[in-house]
Amino acid sequence: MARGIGFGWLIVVTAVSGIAAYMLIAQPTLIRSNTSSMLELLPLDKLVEHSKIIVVGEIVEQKPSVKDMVENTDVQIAYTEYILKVERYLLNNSEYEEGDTLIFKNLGGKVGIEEFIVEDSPEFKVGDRVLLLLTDEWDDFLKGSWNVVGWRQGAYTIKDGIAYNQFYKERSMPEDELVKTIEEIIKKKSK
Amino acid sequence: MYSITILDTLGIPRSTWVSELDAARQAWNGHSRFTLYEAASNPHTVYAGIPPSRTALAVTTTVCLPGYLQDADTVFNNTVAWATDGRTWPDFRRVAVHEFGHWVRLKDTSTLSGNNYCYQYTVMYDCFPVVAGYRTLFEEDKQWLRSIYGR
Ligand SMILES: [Zn+2]
Repeated sequence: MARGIGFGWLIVVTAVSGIAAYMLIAQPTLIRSNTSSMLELLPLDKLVEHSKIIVVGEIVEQKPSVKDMVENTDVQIAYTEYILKVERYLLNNSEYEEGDTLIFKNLGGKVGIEEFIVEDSPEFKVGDRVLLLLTDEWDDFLKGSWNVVGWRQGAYTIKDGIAYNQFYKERSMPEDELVKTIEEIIKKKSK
Repeated sequence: MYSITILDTLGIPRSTWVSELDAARQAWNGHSRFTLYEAASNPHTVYAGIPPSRTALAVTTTVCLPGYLQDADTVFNNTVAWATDGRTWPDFRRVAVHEFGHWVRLKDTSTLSGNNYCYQYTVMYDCFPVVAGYRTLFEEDKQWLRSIYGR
């Protein structure tokens, strides 16, 4: 494998106004890491296929965020652990022993003066009722812990009977319809 | 410091990814006082690998300290079947132009709210289905650039 030949890219900000703009964006003492991505849109049946657990429940606790290095890079990223109070499991295709609560990890969070914004990672707050498609692999960074499949694509926030997809608003639908659709996909796959 | 990897693992011939990436860089130049240069050795890198999420075609991470941009890196997913013909998705140059937009702190249109939600006439459009094309800046993008860096 060839090494050492590389592409370095240099941003040269020539305008003083540019620097001024950054000062407006960044808080005085805050270091802000922003991770943006372009996702590959997966159909619901593919997301279900990559899921080991599909669950409906309520976020009851948010743990302090932790930061870590992305393997083979100099990129740091943070994750946050959430505790979900489970209402029902739609799928459990794993060794996981179903309990009343489930802990999952999600990318993004604030550690000290460093804020790690992961734009395509789902967002949660305590009290949210959610439907989550989870896996403990596939997403290499959070491997070994439950995490949402396909970032925002695999997270629905439920409000007034409607399940809102966090990535693709056209995928939002009534909660019972979503549950039925997912159950049909699971049934078809298990045949 | 960190190592820089070449993009050969994307499955695109070297001469092609070199010229496509350069075209994506050039797309940002000449519209404002901002110029994106290529340099032989620099802490800001473009590389190929597996991003923090496998569903991501490419991921850009920028680190901002008060007053300046400390670091910008883009990883292109090397498990994706990239296209370079300008008609097929995912279009490498289209995604590269978009990712460089994050280097200058522009946001994905899907993360905007209200009337701007999924505004289409910008290279920062990332709502689906994304089509190929959109390889040059729109007036909106140029205006954003000028509002930050001046004409
Ligand atoms: Zn983006």
